[in-house]
Amino acid sequence: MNKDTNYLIRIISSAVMVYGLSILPPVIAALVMGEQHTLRPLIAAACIFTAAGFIARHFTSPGTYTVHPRINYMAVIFTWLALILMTGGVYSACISDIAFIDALFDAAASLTATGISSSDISLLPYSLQLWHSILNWLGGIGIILITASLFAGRGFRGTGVISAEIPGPEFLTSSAAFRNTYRLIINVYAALTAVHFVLLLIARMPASAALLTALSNISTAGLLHISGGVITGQSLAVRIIITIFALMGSINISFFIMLLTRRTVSGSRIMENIMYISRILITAAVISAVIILTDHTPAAKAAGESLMQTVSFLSTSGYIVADCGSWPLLCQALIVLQIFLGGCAVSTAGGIKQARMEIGLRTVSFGLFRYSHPKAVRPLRFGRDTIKPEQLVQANIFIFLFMLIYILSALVISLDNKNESILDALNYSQAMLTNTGRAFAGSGVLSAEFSPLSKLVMCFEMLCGRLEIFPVLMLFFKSFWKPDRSR
Amino acid sequence: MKQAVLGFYGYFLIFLAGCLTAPLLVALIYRETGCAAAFLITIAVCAVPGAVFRKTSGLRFHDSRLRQRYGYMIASSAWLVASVIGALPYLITGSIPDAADAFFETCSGFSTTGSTILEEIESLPKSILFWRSLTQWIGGMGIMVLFAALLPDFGIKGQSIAGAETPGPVMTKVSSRFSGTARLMYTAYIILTIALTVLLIPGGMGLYDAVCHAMTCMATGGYSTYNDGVMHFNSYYIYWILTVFMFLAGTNFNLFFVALRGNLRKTLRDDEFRAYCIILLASIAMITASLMTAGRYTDFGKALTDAAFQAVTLMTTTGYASADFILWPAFAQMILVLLMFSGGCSSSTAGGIKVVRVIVFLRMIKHEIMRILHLNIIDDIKYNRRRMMPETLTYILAFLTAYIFTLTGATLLLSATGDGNLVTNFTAALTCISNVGPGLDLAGPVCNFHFYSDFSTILLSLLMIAGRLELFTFMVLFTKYFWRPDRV
Repeated sequence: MNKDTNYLIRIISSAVMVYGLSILPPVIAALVMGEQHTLRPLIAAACIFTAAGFIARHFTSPGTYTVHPRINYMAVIFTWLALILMTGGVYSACISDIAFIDALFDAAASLTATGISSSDISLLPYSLQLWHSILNWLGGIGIILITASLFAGRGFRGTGVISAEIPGPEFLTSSAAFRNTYRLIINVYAALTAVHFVLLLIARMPASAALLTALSNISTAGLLHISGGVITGQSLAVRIIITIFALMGSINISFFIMLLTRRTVSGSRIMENIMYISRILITAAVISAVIILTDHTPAAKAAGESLMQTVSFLSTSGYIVADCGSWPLLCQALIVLQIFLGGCAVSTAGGIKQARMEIGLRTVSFGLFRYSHPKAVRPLRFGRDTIKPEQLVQANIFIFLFMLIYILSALVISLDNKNESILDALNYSQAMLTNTGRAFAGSGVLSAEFSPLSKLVMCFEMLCGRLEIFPVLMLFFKSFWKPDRSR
Repeated sequence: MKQAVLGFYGYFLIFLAGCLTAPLLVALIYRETGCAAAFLITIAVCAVPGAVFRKTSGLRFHDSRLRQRYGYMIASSAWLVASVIGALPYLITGSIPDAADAFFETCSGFSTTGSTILEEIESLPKSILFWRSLTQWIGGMGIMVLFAALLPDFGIKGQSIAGAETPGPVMTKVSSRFSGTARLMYTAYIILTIALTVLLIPGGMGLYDAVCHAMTCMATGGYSTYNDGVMHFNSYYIYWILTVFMFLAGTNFNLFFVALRGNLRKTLRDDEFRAYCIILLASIAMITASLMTAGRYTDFGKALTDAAFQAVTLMTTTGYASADFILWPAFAQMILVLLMFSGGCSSSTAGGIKVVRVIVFLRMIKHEIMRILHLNIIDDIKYNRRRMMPETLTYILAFLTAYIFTLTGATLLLSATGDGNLVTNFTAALTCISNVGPGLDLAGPVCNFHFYSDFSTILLSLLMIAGRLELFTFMVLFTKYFWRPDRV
């Protein structure tokens, strides 16, 4: 076995082992709840995947070497594809009358923390709801990141493979991929989830629901187990807690690390968080002002609902707090257009990301500057950091590539649309690519009308959204498969 | 420097007055005295200050060399001035009583967008409709390019001004002097317009209609003299003739000269031209298949004609319609929206992002992935077998990002007024920034932009000019860098 194969098998098998272990809590839940129908498939899956991962890992050796970036991307995409396929298989075995393509769709949605499902999650047995939330939690921050922090050998640094998986522009994610940092990230993520769970208990949410909510909400996966993601019936305290933790899940996690370690974090990370929170506040203020002026809604109610709904959509969670379908046109446009931007880098949110948008704006400003001063030399800055030309190019390519995939996917989805409106196709495409799941004011359950082709395209979009496009796109390049060919 | 700008405006206003004599003649031929008076007044409004500016500036053709910065200002402001003056005949004759609407119609004309606020076109005087078509023809190749072609010895660096309004990221030249290139491009433009006029007449068009449609077709503008546009003629012959000429108008004009000089192979091997043809053929095939499978058409010939016409008209940003495509399947509409984004070739009369930028962007994606996969790879991005300069690539990226942000901002502002709906506002902003003409839903091909408020109308007008000037030439006027040149 050469070192690349050894490396690939070690990463994938470790992830499969973690994945197998993640089925144990649902097994316990099924035992406690007496859900016999799901118990057997879940036990079988837990045993098979944990054992398979353990055995495969046993035959590999921990390496202290570094591998080619291609192998890191291979490890990431193969791991994710394998886990989606395995989850699809387990869903097929656990849920009666589900087509495999629907099971695959649900698997992709669970792992990519996208708040949509082919059936109503709240009607599924509790053990499956719990597993769905656990998958949200694992996928939200990155399964390889979790695996590496749990099972990495002494010589394993994992910088390449983890920065290939963490969402966000390269210049913000690379520093998060150092061993000490990514372990801290997992600790912060777990601690936030625990605090979220306790606060929900204090707010008198039943423990079983609080657990699902904490796991799904911190990973900004929407709250499909609560009436298909409509949380208007929850108490004010619960809605406020959910809003706060959805926001926490979508901001750059470096902020919490900075608080914990009392270190100064690079200006660009602070800058990104500040800009993101400002964007949320401005959007919520505009929406509440428009609602107050047009619908004469009481100011406190309008402000509260608009802030909570704005956080839900801008963090790409997608749960419903207000009757946003009846909002004025400007409010709808503001939300729909901003879902594209999503949250911050190194967070569980999807979308283009705040930092890239900032770089995009600076690129335009830079272009205009060079238009006026063609011979002037001026560095491009983000916070206190200088943006290198290749980082600028990469961020801008990502923005346009994101839009290109959005519109090309909508084109394929529109094949299913028998009527003349292109809106449905565009909405679904946006919901999948940004990992929001729910088209604006739409349902958290996927319409049964979509063909298998559309569902596959949606899976592709969800994966592109979670892994930030490039690892998925590489699958279509010859040189990904044949390293000697530069095509 | 101020004198040079003043002098430029002097010549420019006189030039506009000269253009206005054409509709004046049409008004006299059709005995539209009211319109003739309106054109005379407008000519006076142009010619008198024009002469005064010229005289007071004391500028001679070779006196001055303007900095590029002033080129942008002149190009942008000239389009605004032309649009304001061009609106006067509509207002004076009462054809369009509202000033914002008249400004919109003229901007749509000069920028070759083709969107209209007019609900009843056929009731307008012939000379007014002629002027409407002429604005598109003047704007098609670029007002500054025409100016440079007519006044080759004018001291202002022709290329610095005309380059600011020439479509595409790279200015290609077929002559050593820019004025020579401009003249050659206009020669091709005029020849093609005349050829189209001659070819349209046997299809059942009168001379007047043929001239008006030839002007708006070659400019990729899309104005018609009828309420239902070219659907009025309901002729396969006319549809196919227009399709061919729209295709030619969306092609890089410089390629015509390359082909005429006997290098046909080079023309056919041009990266942009090949991509342009491939995109069009693929789109036509997919739309035809969609129309036939959805059961909207039973006649393959009719489906192919409408698919080809709509694909070519939207990709070249002309904006005619041979069918109401908002009734087509969503898949076909999605393809049309994609074509609105891409636009035609550089150095053509088409708007949009331009095929060259699409090609380069796709190559940049591939290059980026290669860079990730092969850390030490040295692989330049090439276009027409030539290495693209990093600076040009940055400009292209900046343009694409600016395009998306402007489109998003404009959609938000249109929505803020409460006009239309999200699809209408998005496609209206898209159609104006790409200079296409029709959008979708309420702004569809058989609808008009009359329902928009004055604020939205002016916003869309400015968007058309910004789109026609490739965004940056117009946007740079609103930056501090432009107004404080000494501070970097």
